[in-house]
Amino acid sequence: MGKCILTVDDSSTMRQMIAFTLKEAGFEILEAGDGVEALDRAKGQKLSLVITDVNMPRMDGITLVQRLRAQPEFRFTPILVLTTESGMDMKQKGKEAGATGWIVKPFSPEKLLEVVNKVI
Amino acid sequence: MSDPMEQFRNAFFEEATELADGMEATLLALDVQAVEAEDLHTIFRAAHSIKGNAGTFGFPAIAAFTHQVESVLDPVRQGIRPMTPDLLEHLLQAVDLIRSHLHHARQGGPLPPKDQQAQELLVAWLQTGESGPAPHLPVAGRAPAPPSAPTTGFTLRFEAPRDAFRRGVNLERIFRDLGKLGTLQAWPDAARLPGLEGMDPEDCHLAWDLRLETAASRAEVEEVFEFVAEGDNLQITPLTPAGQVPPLGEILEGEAGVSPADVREALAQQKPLGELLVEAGKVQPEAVSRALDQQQKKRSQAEAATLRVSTEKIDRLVNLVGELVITQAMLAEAAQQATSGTGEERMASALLQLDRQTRELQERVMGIRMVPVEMVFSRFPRMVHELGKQLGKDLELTMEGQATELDKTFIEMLVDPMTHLVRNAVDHGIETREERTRTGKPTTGVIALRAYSRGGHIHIEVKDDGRGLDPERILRKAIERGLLPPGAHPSDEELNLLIFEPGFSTAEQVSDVSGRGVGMDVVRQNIRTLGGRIEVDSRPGQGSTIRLILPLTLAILDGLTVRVGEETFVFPLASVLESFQSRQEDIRTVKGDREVINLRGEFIPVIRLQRLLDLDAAGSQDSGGRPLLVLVEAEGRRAAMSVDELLGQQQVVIKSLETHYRRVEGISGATILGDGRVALILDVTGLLRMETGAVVAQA
Repeated sequence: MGKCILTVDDSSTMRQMIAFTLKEAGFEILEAGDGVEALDRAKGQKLSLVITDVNMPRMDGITLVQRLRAQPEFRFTPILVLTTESGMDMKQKGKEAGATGWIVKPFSPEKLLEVVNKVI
Repeated sequence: MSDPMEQFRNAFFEEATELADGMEATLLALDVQAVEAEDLHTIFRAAHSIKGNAGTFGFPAIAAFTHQVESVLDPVRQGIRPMTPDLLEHLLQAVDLIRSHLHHARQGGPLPPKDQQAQELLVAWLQTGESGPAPHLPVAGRAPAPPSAPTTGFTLRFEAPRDAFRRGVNLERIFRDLGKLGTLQAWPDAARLPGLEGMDPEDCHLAWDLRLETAASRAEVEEVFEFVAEGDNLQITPLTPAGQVPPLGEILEGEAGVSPADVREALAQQKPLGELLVEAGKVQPEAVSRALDQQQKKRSQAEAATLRVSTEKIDRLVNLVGELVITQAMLAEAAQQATSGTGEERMASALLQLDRQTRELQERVMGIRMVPVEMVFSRFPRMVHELGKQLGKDLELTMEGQATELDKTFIEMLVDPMTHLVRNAVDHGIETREERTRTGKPTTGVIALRAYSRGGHIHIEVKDDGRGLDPERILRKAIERGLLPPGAHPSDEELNLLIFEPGFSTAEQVSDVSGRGVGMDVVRQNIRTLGGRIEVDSRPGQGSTIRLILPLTLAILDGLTVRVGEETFVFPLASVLESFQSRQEDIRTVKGDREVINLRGEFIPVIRLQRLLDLDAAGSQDSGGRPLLVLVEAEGRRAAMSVDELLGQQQVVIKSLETHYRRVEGISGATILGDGRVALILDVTGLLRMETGAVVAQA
C-alpha cells in the first residue's frame, strides 16, 4: 500500500497540482479545502504526511497544525506548510505550531517532491 | 503590478536594503575590544538573508558577493577569526558594495567597473587578511562566480532542536541525505541530556559532531538542515583545502577518530575577549553594559525604519484615488467640448474638484506619517512597574489621550526625553513610602501621562504627585554653578526651567535609575530640535508637571464645527464640555455689559463669539432669544460661548495659520472642511484671555 498524504488548500488548482505530482510519484492522496475539512478527513486515517496552506477560510493552516498535533495519532506525523513568503516569520510561526517544515510558494513539482522526500 | 515576480523583486530590494542598513548600524556599534556574539550573528544573518534572497530572485552577482562576505563572517562569529579594526573597516566597505550592487541591480544594470574592482580587492583582502585563517574560500576569478569549486568537505556541529520529535522531524533522514553527499563520520554527543528528573521523553537533546568529506557546496549541505537549523544550532566549518596544511585537530578527527567535541574542549580554554578584559580590570562591567544599551538603542533605531499604517488610512487613500479617476474622466470629457460654453463650465468645476482632491490627497499622504502617541506611552507601564520595584515605591501610572496623533519623527524623538522625564519623576519626584505617610499622602504615588492638542500645539505632560521642585535648592545650586549671578531673584517659572540647563544635574541627583542615559539638558535639546518648548508647573509638596509643547503644522484634532455669523469655526472637542440651548432668563448682565449664565447653580461667563470676533451678526436668528451655547473649559476656567449653529463633530487636519498668514489672537489654526471651505480653529485659552483683557480694558 502506498503512503498516504493529506493535502489541504482552499485553491483547488493548487490542490490539483500537488495531488497530480504526488500521485505520479506513487503516493495516495487525500484532499481538503480548509482546516475544518482536513480534521474531518484525517479522522481514522494513517497519514504519512500533511501538506497544508496557511491562509484558508474557516480554519487556517497554523491552527490546523496545532489541532493535529494535539491528537495522539498525529503527534509525530510530518506536516509541511505552504507559505507565500520566503521570510522567516511564517516559517517560525509554523515551527512554533509544530510544523515539520515548509515549502515556499511558488514552487515547481520537482521542488515539491524534493521537500516531501526530505521529511518522509 | 502585472508581473508577480516584479513585486517580489521590489520587496527583495527593500528588504535587502534594510538588511544592509542593519548590518552597517550593527558594525558601527561594534566595540572591537569586546565583540558581542549576538552582534556577529546579526551581521551574519543579514548577509545570509541577502545572499539567499538574491539567489532566489535572480541576482547571482549579489548572491555571490554576499556569499563571500558571509563566508568571512562565519569563522568570525564562531570565534575562530578575531574581529579587528581593519576587518571592521573592510566589512563596512562590503556593506557599501552590497548597497551599490542593490542599486545597480534595481536599475537593471551590472556593477560599474570601479565597484567591480573595489569588490575584487576587498574579497582578496577578506580572504587573506593577516589576522585571518588560511584562506578557505576559493579565490574567485575575475568574474564574481559563486565559489563552488574545490571544497574538500566540512566539519559540522549540529544540535537537534528540542522540539524536533514533536514537529515530526525525521532526523534519520538528515543523515541519509548527508551521506548521499559524500563520506560521513558522526560522533553523537549526549552531553546535552538532562538528568533523569528533568527529562521529558518527547524532548530532543541530541547533538552530533560530523565530518563530511564532499565536493558539495556549503549551500547544499545547509539545504539538508533546512527545517532544523535555527540560529546557531548548526555550525559548518570548511575543512582545510587540499594543498594546505590542516590543523592538528582536524587530522586527528579524520585519522584517529578523535571527537571534535574533545578537540574543541581542549582548544576552548580561552574566554571571550570582553570577559578577559573585565577580569584583567581593563574595563568595568558597567562600561560593557552601557555599550550594550547603546547597541540596543541603535538596533531599535534600525528597526524603526518601517512604518505600520492603519488600514483605515490606506482605505481613505484608495477612495480618494477613485475620486481622482472620476475627476480625470470629467476633465477629459469637458476637454472634448472645450469650445462650447458648457464645456468650459464643466472644465472649471472639474478643475475645482481636482484641486480639492489633490490637496486632500496631499494631506492624507502626510497623514500616513501620523501615529498615535500610544506608541511612546505604551512602554511606560512596564518601565514604571520595574522602577517601582527597584526603588521600593508604590506607583500608579495613568495615561490619557493616547490616541492623539503625532508625526512619526516626533514620536521617535520623544522616546528619550519622555523616558528621562518619567524616570526622573519616579526617582526624584515621588517620595518614599515613609515620607509620603509622614506628609499624609496616600502611599501610592501617581505618575500621569497626558497628551492633547491645544492651540495648534501638541501638549504632552508628565505629572507626578510627589514632592515637587524645591525652588530654594535650585536657586542655591544655580548660583553655585554660575548659572545665575549671586543675588538674582528669578521667578519660580524661570527657576524651574533651570533644571534643564546643561550641567545642572548634580552628583547627589545621580542614582542608578535616573543618573544614566540622557540628562535633562538633552531633554530640552530634543524638544528644541522639534521646535517645541517646555513648561514646568511645580508646587512644593504636591508634585510637578512637566509639559512638552510641540508645535505641529500637521496634526489631527477632534473638533466640533459650529457656525458663527456666516463663518464656520471648529472647537477642539477636548475643551468642549457640553452644548445647549439656553433660556434668555438664565442669562444675566452684570457689571455693565458682562453676561453670566446660571448653569445648575453655577455662574459662568457668557462670551458672544459674534462680538468677540467682530463678526457680522447676519444670520444669527437666535442671538436675542434663546442663544445656543457651547460650554468650554481651558486652564481650569469655564465659559459659555454663544454660537449660531452646531454643524457637527469631525476630525480635522490642523493647518498652521502662522505659516500661511499670521498669528491671530483666539485662533489656533485653520482647517479645510470636507466641502473645501476653510474653517478657523478656535483657541479656547486665547479666547478666554481675550475676553478677560476686554473686560479689564473696559473696567
